Amino acid sequence: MKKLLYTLILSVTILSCSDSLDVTPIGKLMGGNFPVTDEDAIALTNGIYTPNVGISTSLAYMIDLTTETTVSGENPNSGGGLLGLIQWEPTNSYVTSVWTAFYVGITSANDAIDKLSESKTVSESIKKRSIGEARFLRAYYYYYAVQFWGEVPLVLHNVDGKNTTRASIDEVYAQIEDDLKSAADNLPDVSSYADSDKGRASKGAAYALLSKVYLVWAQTSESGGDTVRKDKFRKSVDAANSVTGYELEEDFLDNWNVNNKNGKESIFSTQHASGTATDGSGGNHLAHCAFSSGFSNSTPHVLISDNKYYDAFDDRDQRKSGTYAKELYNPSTNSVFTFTRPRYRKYIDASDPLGSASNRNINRSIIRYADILLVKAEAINELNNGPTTDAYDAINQVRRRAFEHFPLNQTSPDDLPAGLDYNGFRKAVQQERMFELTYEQSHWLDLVRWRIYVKTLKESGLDESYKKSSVSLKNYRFPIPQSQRNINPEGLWQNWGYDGYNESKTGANPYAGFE
Amino acid sequence: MAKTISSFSDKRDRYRVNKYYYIIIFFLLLSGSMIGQTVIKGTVVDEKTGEPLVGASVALVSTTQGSLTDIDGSFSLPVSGQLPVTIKVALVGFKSQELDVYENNGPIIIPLTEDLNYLNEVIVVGYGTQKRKELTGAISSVSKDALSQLSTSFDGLLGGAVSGLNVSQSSGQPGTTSNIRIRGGNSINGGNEPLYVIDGVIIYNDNSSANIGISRAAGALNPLAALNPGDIESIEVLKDVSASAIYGSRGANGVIIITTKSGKKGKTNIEYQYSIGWQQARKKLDLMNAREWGELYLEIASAENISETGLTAEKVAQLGEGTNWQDAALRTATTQNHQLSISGGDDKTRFLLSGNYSDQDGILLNTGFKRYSGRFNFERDLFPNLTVGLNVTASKMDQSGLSSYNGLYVNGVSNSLDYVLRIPQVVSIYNQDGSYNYNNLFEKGDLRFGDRTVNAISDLVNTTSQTKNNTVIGNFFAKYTIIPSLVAKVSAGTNLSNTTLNFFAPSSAAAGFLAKGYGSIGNKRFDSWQYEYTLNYTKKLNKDHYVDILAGYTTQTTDIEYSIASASNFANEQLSYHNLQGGATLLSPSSGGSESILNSVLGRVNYSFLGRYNLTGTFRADGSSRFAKNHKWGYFPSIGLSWNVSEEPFLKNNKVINDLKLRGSFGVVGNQEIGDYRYEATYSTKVYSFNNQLVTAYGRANAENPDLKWEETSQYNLGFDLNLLNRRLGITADIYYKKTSDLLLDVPVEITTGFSTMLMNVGNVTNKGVELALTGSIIDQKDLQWNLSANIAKNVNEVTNIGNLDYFLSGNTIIKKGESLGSFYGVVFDGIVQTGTDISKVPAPSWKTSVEPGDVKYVDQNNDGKVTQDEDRVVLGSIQPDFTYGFSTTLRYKSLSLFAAFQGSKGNQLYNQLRQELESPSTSYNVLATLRDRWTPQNPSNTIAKASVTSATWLDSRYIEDASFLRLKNITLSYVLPVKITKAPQTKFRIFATGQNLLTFTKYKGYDPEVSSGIDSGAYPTAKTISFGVNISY
Repeated sequence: MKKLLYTLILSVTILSCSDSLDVTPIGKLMGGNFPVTDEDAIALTNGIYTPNVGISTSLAYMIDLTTETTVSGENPNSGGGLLGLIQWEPTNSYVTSVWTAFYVGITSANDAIDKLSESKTVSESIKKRSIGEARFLRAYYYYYAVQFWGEVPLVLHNVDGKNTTRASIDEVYAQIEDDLKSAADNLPDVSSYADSDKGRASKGAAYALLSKVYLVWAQTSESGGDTVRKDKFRKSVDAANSVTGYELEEDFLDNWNVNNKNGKESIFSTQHASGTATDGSGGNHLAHCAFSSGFSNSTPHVLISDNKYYDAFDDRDQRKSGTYAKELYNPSTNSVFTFTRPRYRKYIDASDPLGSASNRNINRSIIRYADILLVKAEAINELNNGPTTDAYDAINQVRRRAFEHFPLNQTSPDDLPAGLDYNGFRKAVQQERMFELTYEQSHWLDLVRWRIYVKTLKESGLDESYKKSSVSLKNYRFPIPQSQRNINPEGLWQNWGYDGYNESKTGANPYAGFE
Repeated sequence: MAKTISSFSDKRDRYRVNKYYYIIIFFLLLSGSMIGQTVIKGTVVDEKTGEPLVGASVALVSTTQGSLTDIDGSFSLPVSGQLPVTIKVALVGFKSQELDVYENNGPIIIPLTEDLNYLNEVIVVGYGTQKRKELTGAISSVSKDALSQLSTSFDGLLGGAVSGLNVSQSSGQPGTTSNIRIRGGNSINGGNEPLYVIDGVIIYNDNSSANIGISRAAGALNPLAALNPGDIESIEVLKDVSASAIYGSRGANGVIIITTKSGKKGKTNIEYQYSIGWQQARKKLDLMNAREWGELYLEIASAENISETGLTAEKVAQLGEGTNWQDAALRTATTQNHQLSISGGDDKTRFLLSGNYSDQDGILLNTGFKRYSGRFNFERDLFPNLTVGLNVTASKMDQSGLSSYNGLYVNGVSNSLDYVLRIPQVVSIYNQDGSYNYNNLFEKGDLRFGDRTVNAISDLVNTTSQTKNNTVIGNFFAKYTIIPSLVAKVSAGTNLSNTTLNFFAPSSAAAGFLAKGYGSIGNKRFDSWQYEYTLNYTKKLNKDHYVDILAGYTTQTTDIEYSIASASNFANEQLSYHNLQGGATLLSPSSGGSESILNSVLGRVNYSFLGRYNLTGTFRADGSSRFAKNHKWGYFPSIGLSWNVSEEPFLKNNKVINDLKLRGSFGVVGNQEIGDYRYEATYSTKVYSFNNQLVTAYGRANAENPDLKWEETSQYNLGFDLNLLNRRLGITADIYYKKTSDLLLDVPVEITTGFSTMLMNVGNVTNKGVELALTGSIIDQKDLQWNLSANIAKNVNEVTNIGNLDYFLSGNTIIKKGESLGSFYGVVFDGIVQTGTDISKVPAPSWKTSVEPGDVKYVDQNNDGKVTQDEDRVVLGSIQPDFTYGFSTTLRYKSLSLFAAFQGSKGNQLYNQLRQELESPSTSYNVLATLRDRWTPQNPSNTIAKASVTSATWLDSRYIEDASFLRLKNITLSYVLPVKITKAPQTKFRIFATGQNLLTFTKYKGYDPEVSSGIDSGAYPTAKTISFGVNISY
């Protein structure tokens, strides 16, 4: 009898030999045992790109919708609606989600840099490339952050992520410069990437971003006086000159052609592929927002504010029909639909226009060669207090492509008139950037670095209901998200003019002299 | 023992106590005739089980002669004098019996009936049973009357049944989950559901075991719906720490012990029950008809809108009611239930076999729930001191639910029901030729593709959203009596749950519309195994001291594995989800799993002195794999004391107070329901692409927290149990205080860490409350009985500390020191701006520079002249009720009985998001009829703003509604037919009629005030049901 019981107890005990409470997670990789191989390192690095995927709309809302060119078709008291009405507050959902995405990207980069630097198993060549990509992406995220918010916490190792303080603008730019220089040294040329790796950060992308960074740094930081500023303009030109191996597409719209991804003009773009996500939850959302109402005159989420921005284009400029769809062929009705107000054209896939609102696999262009040519032209003009032949050559390449004068190295009747002075050339560049880069997440950044944001909106003469003229100097920066300030109100002091700001931190009038 | 139970009835007739005999005895005693001496021999047994009873006193009435029964229950009583004599048999816990003995021809068997008075009732407690008399904890039992009612799932029987137990359905979807809270919620991010112990198998039921995570499927299957309520013998609710501490780290939210029916020695009992019922929506929403909406449309539509839809003033004038889409989606649904059970036993074996088939159609088209379940309970005495047994239930469930519009850009339409409500009645469901109308001119967004739109009825009917589940819950045990007072028990239990979710939306339905057909299959396997080894020493040391000591070791492992495969872009949709390879776009599959282990050592001492003073001390040490290295083990002690005041000489035999017991307890219990691996830095898979080729990416998924440890709840409880007036009135009252500290909280952290929240042990939540339960037997006659019971509970929940933060937001709720959990946070509605008001004095909401007549006004809390989300939001109310209550009554007259149960909740708020959306004027979607009263210069409404496509998305106080309710959950009339089958005289026919949710008193404006999540964004409407049934027992 007792035997039976003991046998029973024994047998059940054997069944339950789960004494150890140290379980190894299944289905999840742990910090302790990752990354080990080269493939791990690559996958870890790929993860730094992903926070950028979901914010295409948010960036368009913060950079395009906040300017005179674009208005919102959304509920006026939604996060997007309020950005369009220049009525954003520290709780704005887009301001918060973009801050979040940037720092998720930055901390992913920090993690990869720290882990890969210490790794003894990952090969040196992959280490070099992956750390290069990580530093490029860290710089990319900080580049936006410093322009949106000014002083931002500079976190380079994730253990420092708590109780942060806002670093000075110069410190942030210095770090971006350092990261990009290192990336430029370590990353391969785009041409040496295998086809399956095209779209990764490359040497050219690092120089391109660097040229943009020096330009905006020089234009937004007063420190060091004129000498230091000139030095940055010079460095911007130098960096732009190092962007080699790229040329302009003959057909402007080829930049957004799904069959021409990472084409010859593309320097850096967010990669989208169909099948990466279920419908609706991913893809390039820019397409949806500008074409959400399809072939109808109902207002989509974002819309041109006034036909005058469309009319401003010369009819011969291929960018007119490349930027705006006034008329568009509708394959389902086999007819051409005419919009009362044109739609943004760049992210509509003409082969499947309706699908554009859902399929969304057009890459989002972040830096393309035309942008760098314009950056170079602008930087030279700033450096020399007037344009040089190089500056003219750069901007004219962009204009010749627009007016379809090939080859681009020959003068054309649509070239910029010679003999422009500093101001005339500056205006010409500003105008050209608008023609070239509409709905490419550039305009607010441009207006802010040119310090003409408030003036431009106030003078836009748009319908009062768009409230563009309610803009004020505080809008030169976005507010620090309230959710972050709730956690760390001291370190994350608020920008001037927003609820809770403190003049001892911001100064009495930080935007004096801005227009 | 020589005689079996079947012979008892005869014997009892012979020894029946009868007034007439008393008179005879009286005269005999008077006569004083005593001749000779005999010895009466016999055995005292338990009437119910036939087991011999030890220590019963057997005495001659009016003399001091007596004896005690020995270990076999036998006695011998010498009688000096002549028969007949009257003997009295008494034993604690049983009703004393007096009987007359006329002749002495062989041993007699005296059955004693258990004295089911309050204090002697045997209660199931953790890892054993206890007499209520010896209890120190607060344990409530669900009444037998409540348990015997019709319900698809047992949680339907709990509402209002027990004080301090708050049950609220998550929706009216058949087979869906309920939210169950015992004495309020302790935790913010840890689970708040109670622990279930089903025939010894421990289950934490947060519904995740059957939740696949396919976002397009809106259904939520309750894994415990696998249990057939008809199999349940008793449900005990362990509320305070003295009762629940034996479950240690999982006891903080209280424990619900469910014991299923078992066979009894004796005749084989066969019972069959069938019921059929009809359900209808309890309420319909009052929406605008075609013409009303047309008028609204013309007020707000732009010239472009009108030219695109062609809805002109002339056309509107001709419109009438239009098509009622809500009526088309709702139906009268039938529900059927078959149940058969066979139980019985002999000397050594007890068994029960039961089967159940339940089929409940939903009141919305293409929804419903089916269950097939079987149970086998078996127990056999292999040797006099060794018993083995098995309790097992196996079920198959099949739930069809709504489809969710999660991820579609459709102006906040949440699911297929919501879409039905949104379609303007101007639009017809069918074309002239009877086919579905797929061209709704008003639709835009993701539900339009060119000229094609989604039809809400077609969507409802043609989308498959089906959860199938197979569940086995079983427990095997062996009980070995080493010496009579020492019992060893081993048991092995399991909870296996396999769930498959099949989802398919054809290209005509919303979820498959842009995807050109969307199919998804998910599988989840949930395996939990537990092994328990306990030793139980029970001894009455002498007449003053009684001890009951339990010691044990248990281990439980849980393994979960899941996989999901999806495809879209189907050339042929006929094969539905059975042919995912037919989708041209194969979407990334996903799979994963987790594993957890809980090892525990437990002990309990019950000590009772003089039957008056009781002490319960428990201790459990739990080691969980869910915590970091140095925090795996948690220790949970508790102590409970009780005093049976009524057993004291000064109260004993009191005419008014029959029983009075005072109870007090203190202890610490824990919570570990945070999911697995949360202390570990982990990475999760993401997908990126380069040059059109997908690549794998890893992103940081969880911040490392090596300090993560148990959430602890300290509890104090004081209570009393009182029975008065011949136990016709019973009162139980408790007062308690619970403090939960080291909360497992997803604390917002600076995103510069890479995470927006981190799970940390931060903060405190307290719950304090009082509970009162009354039971009354108002009429107690042979033919007429009327019982009433009522309970009420008040719980005050408060967040007392959230670390360094003042507050943080979680959706539309705020977690803030001094407020309760589930507090809604928004602006306060202040009426409508009227014509003639000084506009400059009205604070404008942040998206406007100034208001106009007809606009909504909000309270400017900080008086800065404008209304912003940041500065003008306040707490608008909370989901916590002021009190919850329930009452039930049973009235029996001969063969007729009537049972009614009410459940109520007072003071809880609900965010009626559906109403907010349905009161937002739109050129695409229908609105509630309340907008008839919209502001116009001629109709200066102060509640509804003027029509405009700009609607407030802010949460404002208008949409935080009082969700107090009182509901007649159940009313049942049953009648035992006066038929007798001569060949089987015990056969009983009972017929009954039941109504569920027939009456609901509430001011809530949505479909139903029972929405457990606190936000009503289009929950499945609740049904009212009328059923008829028959019950045959043999």
